[in-house]
Amino acid sequence: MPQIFHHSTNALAKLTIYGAVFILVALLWVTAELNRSSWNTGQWVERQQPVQFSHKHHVGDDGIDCRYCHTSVETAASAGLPATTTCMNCHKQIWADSPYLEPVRESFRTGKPIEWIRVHDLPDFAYFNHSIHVNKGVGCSTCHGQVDQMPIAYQASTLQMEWCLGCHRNPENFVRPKEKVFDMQWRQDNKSKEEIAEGRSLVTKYHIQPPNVLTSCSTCHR
Amino acid sequence: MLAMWKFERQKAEGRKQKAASTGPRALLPAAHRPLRAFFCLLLCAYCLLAAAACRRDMQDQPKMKPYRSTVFFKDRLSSRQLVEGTVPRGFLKTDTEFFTGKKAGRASLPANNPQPPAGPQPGVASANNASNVSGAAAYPDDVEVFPLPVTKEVVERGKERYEIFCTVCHGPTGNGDGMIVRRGFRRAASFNDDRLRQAPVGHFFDAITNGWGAMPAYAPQIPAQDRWAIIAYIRALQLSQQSQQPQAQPAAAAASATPATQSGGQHQ
Repeated sequence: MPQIFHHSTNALAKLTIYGAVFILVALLWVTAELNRSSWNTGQWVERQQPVQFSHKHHVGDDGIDCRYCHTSVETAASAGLPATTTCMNCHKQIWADSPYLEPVRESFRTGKPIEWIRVHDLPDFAYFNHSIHVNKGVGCSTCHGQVDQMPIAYQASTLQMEWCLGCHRNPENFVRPKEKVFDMQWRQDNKSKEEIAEGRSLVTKYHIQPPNVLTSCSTCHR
Repeated sequence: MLAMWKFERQKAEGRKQKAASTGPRALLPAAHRPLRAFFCLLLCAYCLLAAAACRRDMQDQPKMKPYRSTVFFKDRLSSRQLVEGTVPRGFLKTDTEFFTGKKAGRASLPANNPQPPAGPQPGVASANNASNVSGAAAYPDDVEVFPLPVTKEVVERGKERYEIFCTVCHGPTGNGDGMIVRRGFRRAASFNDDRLRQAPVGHFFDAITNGWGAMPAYAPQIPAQDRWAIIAYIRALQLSQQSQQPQAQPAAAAASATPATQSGGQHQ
């Protein structure tokens, strides 16, 4: 009986097995990278809004506190979007006839809210509450980046679960003194040994839950 | 999965081989092929489902969350306005003095209370006050005593809130030269002129709550408790600025004259 396979088939078979493993791993890696990329997460993507609102100007140049507009950030799950009247507090006199602000004035006249485009859109199956974070020493810029340098707001973090867990597993790497929470210049995370030691003492001081509670499923998926 | 890849590779390499009919396809019994194809299809369908349909439904659940629009109501607002004549639980404002800064309208007012709460009181600077219509007399309806105990915590809270909402126009020391004024807004009143030094606390509360002149109403942004805290801090600011006045009296008087007349003109 003649041989069905040539002798070289042995080598080919081995190569194929190796190749399959390699390709599988490569595919997995590409998938993971794509999944984390801004193409998927929307990170760094600047969102065009109905009004060309610049956080850089209002926060950076004018020095307006975050809470002037986002009034409920310390007391509620949502940080709060300012009502049109809040814009008009100043813009009834400043830039009062600018065409850029026509949507604001129109909203003020008609009572129809401006429809801002949401920049940070968490999935609905994740529970998030601003107030608990702000009151436990998680700074605005830790998640939102240096908003005072953003002419157009963008999502500064991936908002993926692994990103959330990064802090929920090691809060000492991120917490800061409460009075610095709204400070845009404060470091966004604790890097050096001293900073992490300070973070650790703040974790104790603010009674931040241990990682096994912070990473429990029902902490965020409730 | 691994087997599948191997299978594909072998198929490709099989084409290179001369003996195509004896390719790796022959390795499998013919009866297993449709089964494999079926599983392959199933896997593909599962992946598609996982990637598309399920995700969106979980991600964007058909429920109302803050600031989300809805197609259910005509005006597309998911947060509804209060029905007229209703009061949300916990928002009943029975304490007139606390929520309006106006006197309740009864004879037994604590205006002449010799032991007012710990906060700095109006009339401290009355010694060098030349104006004849000033202080409580100018604002007869406004309460003159804080309707809440003024503690250190309240003043500190007031400082924090003042720096959020007030410094933008009134400036960090209350001289009315905040950043928004420098950007072209009408000059804000200085807390360090005589009119506001003498004004009763209720006047400040009224101004924050309902607006005053060019100043908009801040009631939507600041809860009543915080408004009183801010006023407590304003009193502290007035005291702190007052101690410096003797050295710079003429300059300070000139500086405070303009906003004082402006603000006075607005009081109609």
